[in-house]
Amino acid sequence: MSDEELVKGCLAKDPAAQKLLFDTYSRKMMGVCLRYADDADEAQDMLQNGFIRVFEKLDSFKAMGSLEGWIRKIVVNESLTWIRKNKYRQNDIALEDVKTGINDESKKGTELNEKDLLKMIAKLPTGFRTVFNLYAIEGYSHKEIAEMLGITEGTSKSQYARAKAQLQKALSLEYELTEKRMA
Amino acid sequence: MKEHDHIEKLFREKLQNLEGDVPASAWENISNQIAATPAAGSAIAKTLSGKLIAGAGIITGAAAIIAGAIYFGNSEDHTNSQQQGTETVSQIGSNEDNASGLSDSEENMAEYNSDKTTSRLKNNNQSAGALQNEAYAGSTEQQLAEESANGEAASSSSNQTSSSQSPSRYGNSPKGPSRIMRGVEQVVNAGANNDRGNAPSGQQTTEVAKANISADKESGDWPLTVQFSNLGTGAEQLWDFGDGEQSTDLSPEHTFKKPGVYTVKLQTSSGRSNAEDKIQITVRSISEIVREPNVFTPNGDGENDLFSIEFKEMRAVTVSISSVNGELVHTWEGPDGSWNGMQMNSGKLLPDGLYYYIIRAVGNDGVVHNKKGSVTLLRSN
Repeated sequence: MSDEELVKGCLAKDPAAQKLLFDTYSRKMMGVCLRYADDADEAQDMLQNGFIRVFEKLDSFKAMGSLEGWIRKIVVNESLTWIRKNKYRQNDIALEDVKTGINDESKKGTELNEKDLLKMIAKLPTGFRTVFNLYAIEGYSHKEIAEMLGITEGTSKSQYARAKAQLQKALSLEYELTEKRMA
Repeated sequence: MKEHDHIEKLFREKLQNLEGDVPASAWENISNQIAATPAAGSAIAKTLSGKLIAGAGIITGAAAIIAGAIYFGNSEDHTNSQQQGTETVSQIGSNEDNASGLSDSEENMAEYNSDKTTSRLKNNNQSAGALQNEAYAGSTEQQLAEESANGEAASSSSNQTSSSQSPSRYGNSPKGPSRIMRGVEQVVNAGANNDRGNAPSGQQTTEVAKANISADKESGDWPLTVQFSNLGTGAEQLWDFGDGEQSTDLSPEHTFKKPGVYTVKLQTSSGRSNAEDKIQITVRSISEIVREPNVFTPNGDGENDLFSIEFKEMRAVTVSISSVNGELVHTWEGPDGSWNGMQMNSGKLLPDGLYYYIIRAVGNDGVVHNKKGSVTLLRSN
């Protein structure tokens, strides 16, 4: 089954095709959403909105492109929209124990696993987290981020720097703890 | 900046291909929502649905196996890799879709399941990267071929398209290693429609471009040689050293030939993903006017009989001295010259009082020093 057939099926509102598309990409997209969300519940919200949008917009998908890349862009964008709608009126509270929805993985020595890192990201204030995700992980430039979020380039840069500083701190702490555990 | 660089890398490597458990309720919510819109093209739906359901069965099965690999595979090294890292998710670059209004860098993601392969391929990419130009305009088939030849992922990359869990990829190797989480993201953007030969453009082997300048020093005395490198990633780099010189090397060494403050800019690109970083390099001048006495006593007692100026690292010096009336009384060239208080250093003693001097000097480092000052001639004491 090629993506093209899959898309055709979805455009024809074939439920099996729709489900297949969702099953194919949802775990990855959940991973994307988890990075932008405070917790798994928020991530699920983002994911749902993202996929609903994907199905709405599917007719504008060009077969020449990567379906996954296309879906991913939409999911990121919907995550940002979700944050705009739901988060900026709230205070950013660092969550102590975040339900991440990621499976526990065994630690290898002092190496931090994905869950630890995700937790650190989740503890960042929303603004920092969003910029960090977009810049460090998605690879957007500060200029692009500024446009996407409606902030200035300088704000993007400074939020990024502060996010990094905060992560640095969290990392040092984590390494310290790990060392103590090992000692 | 430097001490934070690893953070970016760490998080990017670990989280870019993060996957998460999707609650069952998610699909229910979505399907309820999309079911509300009426179906179109039901004829196609009919013809396809049988096929789709069959396909779905296989895929669900495969997905379950993969999921198992994900859950249990990550705690170990992927030494069970029978595929030796040939598993690649290929992506087709989408050229036009702007549906979400985002830029394209999101697309440049794919995974490799083997760390080893990843790093190797990364290196290959980078070396091959110098070939890539204006990726949006599309790199050539030749480049892809070249990169494919370098990368071990080549064999699978060009033939498999986006569907990351397509049965054809996993059906034959149910014990295939987990394909998520571990790998540094890399992209093999295969050409459209799986066929290298037919796809005219848009074929790229890229990773997400990331510019993050590292310099072994940010300031120092002239002549300053700085070793630069990009801690980010990019198939292609353009370094602008701010002194009119540029480089496309991965990690250029550059010597600044004049003192000054330079803004060094790195633009990196991979496919359609671009990034930029800047750093300031300060090159300190080494030439200077070290000491200018403000009084001298040319009375023959052997102390302070000469007015001279101490220079460091100067290659051309002219000093001219004039009276308060503006009359030139002496001039000398070279850093070691001096004035003995006589008109042109010969015969006629000049009266006590204030004299003005003008220094024009060029340092070995090219810096021009123009300076004015005054000195008191004091013979009687």
